[in-house]
Amino acid sequence: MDAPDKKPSIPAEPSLATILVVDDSSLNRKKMRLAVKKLGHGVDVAEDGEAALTALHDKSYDAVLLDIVMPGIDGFDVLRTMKADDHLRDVPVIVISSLDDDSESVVKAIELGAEDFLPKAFDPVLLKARLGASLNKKRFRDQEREYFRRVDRLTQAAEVVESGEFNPADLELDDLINRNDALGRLAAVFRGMADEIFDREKRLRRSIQLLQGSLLVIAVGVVWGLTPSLARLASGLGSNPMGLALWVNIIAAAFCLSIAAYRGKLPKLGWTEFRFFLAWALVAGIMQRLTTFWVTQHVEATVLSLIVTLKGLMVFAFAAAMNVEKASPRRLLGLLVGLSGVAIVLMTRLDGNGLTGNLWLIVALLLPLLFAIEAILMAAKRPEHIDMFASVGIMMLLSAIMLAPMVIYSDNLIVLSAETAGLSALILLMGIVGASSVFLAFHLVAKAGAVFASQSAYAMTIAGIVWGMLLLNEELSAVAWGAVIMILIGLYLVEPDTSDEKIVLKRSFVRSRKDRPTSSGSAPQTQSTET
Amino acid sequence: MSTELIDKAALTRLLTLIGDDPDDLDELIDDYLEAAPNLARAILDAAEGGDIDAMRIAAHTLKSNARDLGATRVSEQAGAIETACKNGDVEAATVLASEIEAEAVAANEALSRLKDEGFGRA
Repeated sequence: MDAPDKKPSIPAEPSLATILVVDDSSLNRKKMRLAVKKLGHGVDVAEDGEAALTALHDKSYDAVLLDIVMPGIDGFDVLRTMKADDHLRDVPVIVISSLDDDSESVVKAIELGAEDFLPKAFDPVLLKARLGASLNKKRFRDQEREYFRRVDRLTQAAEVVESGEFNPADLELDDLINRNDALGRLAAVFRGMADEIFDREKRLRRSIQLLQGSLLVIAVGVVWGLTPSLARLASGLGSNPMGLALWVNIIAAAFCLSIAAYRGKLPKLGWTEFRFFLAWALVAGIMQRLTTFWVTQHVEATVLSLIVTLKGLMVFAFAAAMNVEKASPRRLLGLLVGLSGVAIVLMTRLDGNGLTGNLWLIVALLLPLLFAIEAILMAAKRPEHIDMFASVGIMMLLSAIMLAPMVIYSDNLIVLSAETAGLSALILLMGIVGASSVFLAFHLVAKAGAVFASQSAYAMTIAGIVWGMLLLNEELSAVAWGAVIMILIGLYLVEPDTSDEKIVLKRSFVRSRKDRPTSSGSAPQTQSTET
Repeated sequence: MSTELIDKAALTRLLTLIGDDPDDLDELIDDYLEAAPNLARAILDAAEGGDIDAMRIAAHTLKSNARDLGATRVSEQAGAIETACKNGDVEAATVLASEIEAEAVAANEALSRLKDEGFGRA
């Protein structure tokens, strides 16, 4: 027999089986019951075929001792029914009918699937031997079935891994691994390798995410940091902040919505989504802008930059309180390292009396708070099914709509004409820069989480200084470079927020096997044409 | 007489098979003493009623019960009836059936005596 290489051990003395005796003669039933009991097995009796089938369905038996000649459903019928039933097929049947006086019946019974028969005059030794042999065979068959069930489970687990998405913890191989045989060892090796692949892929993915996230943080900082310098340039050309903001929002909205429309991704908004965009526009488009507008008139720009960088810590506090993201000491440390870097740079630029006796400083704290609220809002409530360009465009559009009455009422509307061509070009640039920075920030939050993204505030401050130097010929402190390094260390410590419960393998061994020529005849042909 | 009618070796084999308990053997003997005349009667009734299937099944049971208890001649006679029934030979079966009751009664007497003598309790 082509049995698995590691055979389950078979007990020499089959013990404690449960046997069903089927005989219409009460004398025979009594005799068989006593005889089987003497061998140490449990016995139930059935007085006809119908009772036998009922008993077999109600309870699990290890063997059946079956009389053939019975009124009604006879032994042959019972055999036929059992062999047709998946659950009863493997229960061995020993026919109580002697070959000596009824060879025909015995032959027929064996043909129908009976395991063995009892001869005319059988003694306890023969009964024990025949019953024992049948029970052993059944036990072996059961173990074999169990073995193949395990092979099946392992194969299924392998298919899960190979199908792509998996987490080793979901493979449910523990009970297989706990079996101390060849298959158990194979399962252990398989799981070990799956674990290894999982860990490796996870580490790789984290590195990529850290790199992507860091680049995005820097990109957001660089693009956003451009805004103050451009605003100062615009101011020199006779614009005012509120009027400028309106134009910037309109252009940014037009820019983003055009891209979304071009990509065929303009969404239909439900009430929930609309509420999100309204809240976002209120926080980012109106409240942040008004606060900035008022605060910049009373707080020195350098001090304000320093205060804005507190955004990171605020996002961290929100994220921890709302359980939006993992809030570990390591991430907090990373935020503090980055903040220190920025703080050192800004301290060198303070003119001394900027920090004292100014109640506006407390109002200025609203600004990082509003940034933090925006970040958490994007991280937790962002409608993920809506295209990012469309999202940013909608927000900008809503901001512009809300801003317009205020601008007109406060008489800050900037009228663009042929004489203000320079300002118009600048406003166009600012609109695109504004859209890009919001888009990048939005992308960053979606990709790496709000806490990691909040570090863009550091990059923004430093980039603002660098842009100031490049565009406005402001002088750059050497300490800034130290700050950049500290921000990078901070990025490494904070790590992007990842949700890697499953990894995806992008290769398929089964599929590649199927791709090969299947028929043995065509294989050499293929080879010969290739060589 | 009894030695010829009852095969003591068969009884001993039965005793061993059921675990060497003479009380159990006595119980089986009592069951047989009660069942054998009934089975003989059933064979006769079936023969009179022409129910060959019932005759065959009753004969089969009596054959195997009698064999277990050592009533060799009853067993052989019952076996002959069973074979006749299987072959559809109603006439032969009926002739054989007419003799079975007397055989069964004789065997019962012998078996009963053996039981009273305390067979298996030596």
